[in-house]
Amino acid sequence: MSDRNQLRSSGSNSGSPACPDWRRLAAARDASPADPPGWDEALRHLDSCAECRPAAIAADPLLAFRRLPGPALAADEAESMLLRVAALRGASRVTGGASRVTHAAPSSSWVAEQLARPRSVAALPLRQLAAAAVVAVALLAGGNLPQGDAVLAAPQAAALVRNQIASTPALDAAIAAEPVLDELDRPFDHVVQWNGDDLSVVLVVDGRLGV
Amino acid sequence: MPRLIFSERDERQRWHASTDLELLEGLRAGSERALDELVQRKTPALLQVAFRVLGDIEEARDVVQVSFLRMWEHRTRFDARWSPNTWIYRIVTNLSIDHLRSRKSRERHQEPYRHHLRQVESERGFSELQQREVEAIFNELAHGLSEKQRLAFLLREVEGLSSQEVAAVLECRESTVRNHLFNARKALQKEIRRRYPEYAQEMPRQLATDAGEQEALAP
Repeated sequence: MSDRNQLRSSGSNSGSPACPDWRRLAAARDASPADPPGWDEALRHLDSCAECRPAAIAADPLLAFRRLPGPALAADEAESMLLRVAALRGASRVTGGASRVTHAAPSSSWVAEQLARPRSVAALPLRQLAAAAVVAVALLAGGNLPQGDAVLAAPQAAALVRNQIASTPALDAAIAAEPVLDELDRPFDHVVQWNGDDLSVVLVVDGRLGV
Repeated sequence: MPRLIFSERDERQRWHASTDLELLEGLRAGSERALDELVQRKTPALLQVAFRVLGDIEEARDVVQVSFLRMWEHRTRFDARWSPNTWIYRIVTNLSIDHLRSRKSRERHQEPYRHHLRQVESERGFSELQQREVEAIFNELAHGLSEKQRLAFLLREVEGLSSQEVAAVLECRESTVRNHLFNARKALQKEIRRRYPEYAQEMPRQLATDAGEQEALAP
């Protein structure tokens, strides 16, 4: 018998002739770890048929747990999580470096434990990587960057630096002196660059201005 | 001429329209905007899974928060041949288990769910109470399962993932998932009939009524 025919076979206690025979399906499922033929189709039917739900749950009370509604979430849950993740990344960067200052306290002792665990290379402080990338680009280009390539070159240089350049006191000092955008405490929307002969001007536009 | 070299708004729109796989590839390439979009897109579903494992929404938030940090830290390990959800769910379930183990060492006393629910019965609508009670019973009974049984049951029976997907999340064979599931079902059925014999009789009719009411209210 095909899955579809099995699904159509009327079962006792079912809400309509189209409902599956839940008693038979549940018995078959209890007898073997493998799902009986037609089980997945029967579940899809159950999700859309309130009529056969009593028969299904009477045959297998565990079906009451299927698709349980989730926890009550706040409307801004995702936004709130975004801030939590950003704060945790900030804390991770700070606790991962030489300084142990924390400006974003972990929300629980378990989260603090997770932060204290050893980190991978990919988790090296971004501030250091980004600043080191700027230094590397300047070194590679001899201080005379071709216009338009700086933005594209930075990630490649970061990878190069990560792989080839060990941290030195001089580099650390250079890094510490570099301003980095991700430490700004205000949202920004646009970055505009104006290259002159001897000077480049970079404008960071506040996200609230709507420019 | 001034030249626009970066637009946050354009970036956000681009990632918003991308698939899960494209997002994870963006993440692997180091895009923080891809991470932001991933957080926006996956938070509700991941909170639900973590909540089901832990039974506590605040702990679930902690787990999901750290999960996103892990995704960022381990982004280069993502392989585009994998299903994005498998990789993400694996991180969340592993951290949820880690949290559970950590919790066992500092287990706090919890008032039995049913007692508490009975107390507030008069303050809430019956339908909401009924749903919450079923949920509480699940949380209570599921604590008696092994970690693998609990996860297999949760992902397959409650969340509705396929056996193949559950096997990928738990990093085991499909036949192993089926065995975990089979044993979990046996244990849960035995417990539900022993502890809540009235539910085997009452739940069907009342849950059906709830589902019917919800359908009627749906747009």
